Amino acid sequence: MTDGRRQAQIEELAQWASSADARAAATADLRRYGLAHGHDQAADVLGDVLVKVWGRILDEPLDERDGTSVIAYARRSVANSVTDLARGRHDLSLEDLMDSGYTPNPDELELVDDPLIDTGETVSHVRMALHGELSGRYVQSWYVAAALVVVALSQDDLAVAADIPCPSATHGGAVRPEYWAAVAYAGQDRCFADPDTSAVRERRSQAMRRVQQTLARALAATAGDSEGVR
Amino acid sequence: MNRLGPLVDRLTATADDTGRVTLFGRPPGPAGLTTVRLAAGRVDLAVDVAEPANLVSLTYTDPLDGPTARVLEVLLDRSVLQTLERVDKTRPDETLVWQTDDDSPDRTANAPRPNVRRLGELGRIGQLALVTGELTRIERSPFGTALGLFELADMASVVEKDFLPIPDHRALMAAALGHLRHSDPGTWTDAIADGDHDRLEELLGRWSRTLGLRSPDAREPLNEILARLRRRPDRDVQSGLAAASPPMVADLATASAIRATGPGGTTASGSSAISAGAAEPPVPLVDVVVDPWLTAVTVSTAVFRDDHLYVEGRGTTDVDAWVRVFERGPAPTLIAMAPVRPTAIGRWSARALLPSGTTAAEALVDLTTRPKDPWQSPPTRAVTAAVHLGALAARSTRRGQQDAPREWERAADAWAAAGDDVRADQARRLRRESREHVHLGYRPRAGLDDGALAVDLVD
Repeated sequence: MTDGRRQAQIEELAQWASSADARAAATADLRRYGLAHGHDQAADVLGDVLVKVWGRILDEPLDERDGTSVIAYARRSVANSVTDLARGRHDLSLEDLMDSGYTPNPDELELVDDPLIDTGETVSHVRMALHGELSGRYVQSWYVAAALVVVALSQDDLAVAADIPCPSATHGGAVRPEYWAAVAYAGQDRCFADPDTSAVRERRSQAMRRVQQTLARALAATAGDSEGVR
Repeated sequence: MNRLGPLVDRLTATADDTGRVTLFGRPPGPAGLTTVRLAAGRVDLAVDVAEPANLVSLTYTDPLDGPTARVLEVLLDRSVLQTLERVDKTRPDETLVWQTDDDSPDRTANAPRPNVRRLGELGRIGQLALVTGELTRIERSPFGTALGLFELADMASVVEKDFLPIPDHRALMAAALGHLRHSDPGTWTDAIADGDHDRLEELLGRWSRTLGLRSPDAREPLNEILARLRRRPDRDVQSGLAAASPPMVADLATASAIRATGPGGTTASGSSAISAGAAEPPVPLVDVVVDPWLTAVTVSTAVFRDDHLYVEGRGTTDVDAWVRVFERGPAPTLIAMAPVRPTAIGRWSARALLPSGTTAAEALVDLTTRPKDPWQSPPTRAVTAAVHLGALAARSTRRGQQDAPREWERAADAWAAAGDDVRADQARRLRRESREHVHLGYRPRAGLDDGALAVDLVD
């Protein structure tokens, strides 16, 4: 597996997704299922395909030796995306349901290195990977909401709102204010309850570690996209 | 002979350059489609949710191998298979491989359809697909999940010889037992409405015999559930009242919110999304696309200011809702999301920190209870909502609920609002039929005349 191959496949995918061939494929499949197949609907299908196949390539580049070219894979994904639309809203997959009968929530909270985010084009890939994290069975939405705040604060000199809590000197040197802000923006008020007891501090600490883990996974998924991301 | 369902009057085929062949029967109706994997994973089959004895599509990869060939031979006539072999697999064009020579008016929208008992294999596969779809549509309790998996295992065991569905019945049963172990036996009977106990007892008794025969490990827990149902304290009272009980409104957590009467993806702009009687709100500066099933929630204001998006609104939801901000593009990228939080009775707000310089012109904003979904335009959301309402109506129909005709009417309205008059008409036809089910007490042809499914009765 090489990062160059991954990058090349992503570029091929992005190019195809904006092509007339891709639009024709989406339109044809929508029409076959008797669904409206205007510009918006086809664009939605292709947007869905782009995100899913992009995530698949990040996991592992497609093995073209077994005949799975990027375009063939993407075309197949178009058909699957249209089928999903005709299925309506589904919260689960049967595979997940089967697995969850055996596998309890791992609930692991091991320490990870502080994720560092570089600037540039990679950031949009990190954000896409974070969106993909929402499909994880044990990922709560607020983890991703908070991680997106960390990404935003790492890129720009943004002024957080006045009511967003900020660590003081008494909280120790290892605490990073962007994680406090992230957890607060994500609505985790319990982590900042007054008085700031040891239970509240522990809760806050766990919340920030969950955000760190979520971000670290997204960064790892995009690690091949740029040398700038560590 | 047509073994693809009474509503299927033609079959077309397409192929792609990897050898994947898809057969198309009838486009899915107003409740959408549901899928099942057969031939040990080599065949994907889709049927109609409201009338699951009808084939929507079947996909396999050429060349036909043993398990795939077996599935196709059961479902298709020899003449159709021969035609299929001649289909040019190098061209993506649709090829007609079969059409009915029956011009009778039986296929019109208003005509009665044959009974499922005459529909054979596809009827049983359709039920398998239906239970799979229902089981994955919403998150359930461990007990509800276990019952659904037992039901799937029972159905899979019946069709296994010819169709090789995956997962097979052993895997399904093992998973069911796993979920059952995670459930609290003290709550088992709580999850079932009073009027549904008899039907569930009937199903459990059947599974205990069929599945218990195949796997003695399953017999004991199934019998234990059955015993708990039978010795519930109010059994004697309820058994006398069951027939007269009003239909239970048992639905997913969003049931109260999913009462859409309008199109999907309402865009909050000015007064359009504000409920009657509300004061005229300030004109929003940012368009917020609201999930169509959130009809009890409205957006009053949405503004970008100082690297933040501030959204305020009215109403409540039963489930967590999020405001999401995407950057426009071929695949819009999620750049921020914020929880919807109550600020007063019937009021809420959300605040998101945005990347520097984000403007309304380059952003897409929505309000959703499904944050993992990609960005969807309002027309696509309208379809998603209409399919969902159709699925709810189909479920009510299977249960013989008095609400069923009204739910079909809602689904018809949603399809009409989505610009799909064909499915709106189909929904109205199903409304008429469901009314007959309720008033005359029979289920003539939806492919479901064996009674409600277990997945319809729990959670």
